[in-house]
Amino acid sequence: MILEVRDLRVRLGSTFVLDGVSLSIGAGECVAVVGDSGSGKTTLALACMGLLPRGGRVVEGSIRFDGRELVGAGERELDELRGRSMAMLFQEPAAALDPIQRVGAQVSETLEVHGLARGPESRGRVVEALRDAGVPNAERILGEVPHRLSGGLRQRVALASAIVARPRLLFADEPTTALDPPLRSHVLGLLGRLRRETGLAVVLISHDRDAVARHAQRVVALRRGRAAEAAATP
Amino acid sequence: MKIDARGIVGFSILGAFVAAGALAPWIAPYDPTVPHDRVADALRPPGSPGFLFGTDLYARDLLSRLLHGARISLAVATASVALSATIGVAVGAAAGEAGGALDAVAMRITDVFLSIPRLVLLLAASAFVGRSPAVLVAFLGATGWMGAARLVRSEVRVLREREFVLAARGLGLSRAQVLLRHVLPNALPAAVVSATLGLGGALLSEATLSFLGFGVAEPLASWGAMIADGAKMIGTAWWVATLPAIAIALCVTAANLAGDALREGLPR
Repeated sequence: MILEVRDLRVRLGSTFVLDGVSLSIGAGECVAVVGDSGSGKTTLALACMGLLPRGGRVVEGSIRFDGRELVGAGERELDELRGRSMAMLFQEPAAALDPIQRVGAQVSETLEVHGLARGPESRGRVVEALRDAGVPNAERILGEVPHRLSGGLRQRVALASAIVARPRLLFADEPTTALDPPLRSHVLGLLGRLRRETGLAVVLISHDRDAVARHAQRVVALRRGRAAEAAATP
Repeated sequence: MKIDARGIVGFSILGAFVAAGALAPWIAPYDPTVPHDRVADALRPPGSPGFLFGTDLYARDLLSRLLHGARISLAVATASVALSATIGVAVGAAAGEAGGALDAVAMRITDVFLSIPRLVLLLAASAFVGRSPAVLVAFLGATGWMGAARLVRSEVRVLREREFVLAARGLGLSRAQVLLRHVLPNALPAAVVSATLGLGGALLSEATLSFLGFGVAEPLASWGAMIADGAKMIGTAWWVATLPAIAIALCVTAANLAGDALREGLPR
């Protein structure tokens, strides 16, 4: 198992946003997390990434990444893991990219902060990641700023930044909600291909039942912070 | 970004003055500190042969003094704005990023500085240390950072809640890296605008201090000192005080125009 979450309880201020949630995922798998808005889907991903907002904290339970306990881990250790071993794709591609940073710099930053590659090697990996993320003629957009790109292209740039360091686990938080329908299946198809080709494990947060049925091997349904059901999709 | 017509006017005027100041030693017709014939050439009006802008009481060429004055006045104003912007960005970024107690303490210190009348503080301080452009820059810089600090703090507090900051954390950037690579670069345009607008204020402060005799000392020329000089004989030789005053007014207006244009041209 790459990620094993057990009986996780997370408090945000005075309310329990997650109240006993478990989830496990292995290499190449896709586990979907479904539920209404406010059911705690995003909080689950943020808790695993160690990125809970101020006032949020894990009260009980465990989050094991590759056997390592992440509850109570230091910021340094988490900084090391984030981006390199696990990454997150956000719902709104327009908001998730720095408005003044060019595409090339945006994607190579992940490599740079982890000291993985620099110079021409970094550029090569950036172009490769953009291609893997489904960007046609990747070299052409390296110098663009995000607001000159379409929404679908922005989401693929965000995906490229997330996968450029070849993480083993990706949290995709409603990655298609802000996109037009034809692009939705394209992005989901890309995630499927990455799973098969690189063994990437994908936690797909979604309320799109169709997408979940097509892509996920297991489903965790949340209702007001509790796991309502955990079933295998047919 | 787009700069409108006002901005072009502002930047052109500022640019012209900066160029004039920078080239003063080569384009000024005379040495600004050396008097000509004290009897024949004193207080010549503008347009006199050999003295385009006239001369002052000591028979020094006003054009040369204005050009060298531009050098000192603009250099002092620019350097002090650069210093105060640096302090302001550092204080504002630290307060905005840290939040909590450090934020509260930093902002109260800012309030204290804001509540001290700048001129009084500068006058008091200049009584203890010598008069030189460097001292002037240090004083103006150390008392002019509060606006930038407040502005940058509020920008940082807004920016750190944006999703791209969370996304950057998710890619493995530490808080400090996110601050330096994403938050500050996005806050920088606002700081540049405030610095440009602050340039006019710094020019006026320099002129005020020099006018009151606490700025740049004779025989060096700064515009404020030239006005002080000319004020004594404004009735008989209007040009001695009026020409540097026009130069100051033009520069301050140009700085404000440039700052306004930058503010409106910023991508939002």
